[in-house]
Amino acid sequence: MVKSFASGLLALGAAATLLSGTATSAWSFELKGEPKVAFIYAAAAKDGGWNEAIDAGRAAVEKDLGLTVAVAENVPEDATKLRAAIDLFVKRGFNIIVGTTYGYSEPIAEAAKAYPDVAFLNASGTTNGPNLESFYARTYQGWYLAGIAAGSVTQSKKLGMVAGFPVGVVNWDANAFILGARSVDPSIETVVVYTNSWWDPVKEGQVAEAILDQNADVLATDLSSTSPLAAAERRGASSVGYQLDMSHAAPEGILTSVVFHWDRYLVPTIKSITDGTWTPQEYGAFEGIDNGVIGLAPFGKRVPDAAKAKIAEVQAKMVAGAFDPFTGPIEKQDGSVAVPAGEKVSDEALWSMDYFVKGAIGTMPAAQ
Amino acid sequence: MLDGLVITRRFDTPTWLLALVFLAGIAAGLAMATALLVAIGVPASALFNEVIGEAFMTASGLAQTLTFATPLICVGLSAAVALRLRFWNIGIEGQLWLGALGATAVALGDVGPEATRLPLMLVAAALAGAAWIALPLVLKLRLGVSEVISTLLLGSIAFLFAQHLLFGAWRDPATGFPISLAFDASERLAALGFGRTHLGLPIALAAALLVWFLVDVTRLGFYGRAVGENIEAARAAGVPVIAVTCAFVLLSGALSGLAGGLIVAGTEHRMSLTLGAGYTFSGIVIAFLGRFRPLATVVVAVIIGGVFTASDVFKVFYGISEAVVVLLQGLVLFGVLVAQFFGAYRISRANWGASA
Repeated sequence: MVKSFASGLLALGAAATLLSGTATSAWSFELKGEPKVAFIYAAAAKDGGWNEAIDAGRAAVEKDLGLTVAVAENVPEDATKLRAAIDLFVKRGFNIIVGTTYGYSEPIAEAAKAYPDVAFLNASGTTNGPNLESFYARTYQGWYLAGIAAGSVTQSKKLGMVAGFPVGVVNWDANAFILGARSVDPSIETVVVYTNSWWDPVKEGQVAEAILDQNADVLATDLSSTSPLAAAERRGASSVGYQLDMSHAAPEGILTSVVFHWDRYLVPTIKSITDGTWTPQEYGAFEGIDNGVIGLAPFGKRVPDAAKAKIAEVQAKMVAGAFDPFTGPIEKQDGSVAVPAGEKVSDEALWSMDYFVKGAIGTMPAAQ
Repeated sequence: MLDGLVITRRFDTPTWLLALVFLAGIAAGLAMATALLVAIGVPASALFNEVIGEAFMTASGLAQTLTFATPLICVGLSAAVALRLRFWNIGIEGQLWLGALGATAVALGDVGPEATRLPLMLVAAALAGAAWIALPLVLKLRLGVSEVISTLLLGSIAFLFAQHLLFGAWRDPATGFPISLAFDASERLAALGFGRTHLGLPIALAAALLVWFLVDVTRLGFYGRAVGENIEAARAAGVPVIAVTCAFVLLSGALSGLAGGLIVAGTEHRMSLTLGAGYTFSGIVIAFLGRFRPLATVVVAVIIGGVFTASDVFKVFYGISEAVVVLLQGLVLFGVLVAQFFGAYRISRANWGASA
């Protein structure tokens, strides 16, 4: 029914073969008039996490490209509300519009059809078109490295992770973290708990306490608030942050944070739009550690040098394309085969990942 | 100073005074709202252009206002119908979620032939909404459980049920995100050719006419008024209190359910977890401002729709948060409720004789 990002990614393989190896899309876009850029957030721009990381990219766009960027915050993920905001921006001459959530995917695709002269970008979106490119990052690469750091410091051999919803982009974070830790010591187990919310600092703190009560001594958050880190810090446990460098919340126990550098995507992309050289990718931009969109924040004091060296080595392999965390053999939580030896999880399978790997303690809500 | 005043209940308030008090209340509410907007940084000069101009005077703005107003008419009617019996339906959002789920179930399940799909979706929405209020209704009638609590809590349960489906059976299989697949073309209400307004607008207006007919013309409506005024007197006079209560309350649930159906079939074209937020409050505000009269409810719903449109302007160009919309509605409601006091009571200077 709806052409999805993931099935698109699969088709990309086929298309690329047909085009004898070229992955360039047939789409091109020409901006009419002076660039006027607007970012639309579903919550506050300064949320300390997801939006703030994108907003740092916005600041870089302003600084590096000399553009003034308008910002609309708290625009809900409803077609009616988002379209109203987009209509207002377009009516006042804005011609580059950046959305920030998967919930905008369909309405932004409809807006892109209605306004072919306006360029649209959408973070973690699932739709693309001649003037619309969705973008996300291979966050699991960073989480695998963070898993190595966590696996290197744990004494209790038990880690914890507070996660949002059981969706593919979250599950791959948890699984990569687990795989990274178990690459250090295969006896390590990780408690993963979903809060079923993207933003609930109180609940996240309580969940963190509950995980720490189960004897975990490293706590990671896959969400935007720092309350799990604060809980870990109070208990003397180590912690891993997400989205931004969260070391301010846990100066003693922080190991690192898996961080976005959206400027590495937004600045060149918006520049290409203003230059008239933008060709939106037919299946969206899926950026990785190789171009620096995903990375680790500076290590905390508890991370041993040996771990730092190992992380640097694995990271170099990832950047070179010689290593992928989701390469078989990988076992599921129940011991069945998730990925056979020698095979790599396809991008499509990443987006629909609905299982835990071995070493997870927790229940994956039934997918179907 | 206050002990120099005497407050007496008026036994009958002249119509001109009621109208005056009502208008004064709205004016006071708007004045407070204006002061609030200016205080948080909207230039006073922009207020007229942005509010009246953008929301009602431009074609695109008016279309947006009417699009917002479509479900608001239904939830306003829903609150009004229930409140006529002094039944506090605080679970409008819950019934709206159920309505959206009902319509989505028909759409995703491809129930029936395509030609009857849309009518079936809307009927399913209304029935699901009515079913969701049936439980508080039974609890109230049989056990005297306060409907304020039961409808409110069932609203949360409805949301959890929506979450359950969108993280389970209905989630987008390709991405795992909690959004249902998009509806087919035959499952979307036709556009009216004016902005994003859709067939839901005439449907909502028809619902308003139907409700007006039921509560202002028929005997059922007369009974309803009797039950609302004094349930014991109505019972003593032979009014079938239980039947009348059931009819009004189920109608209220059905209207909220219909609102959910119109949202998914009219504008969203899929089920999501954000589409129902905030409708309980808006519905009650609209019902109060419309004095529980069905046709006045339509007018107020369009005005509140305009407030939504204007709030988008504030949000997009002045960085003012969504919460301000709730505040603006609240201030106007507050103004009207306070003003009603002056309609219901006479305030005069006390004459305490020698002690004064």
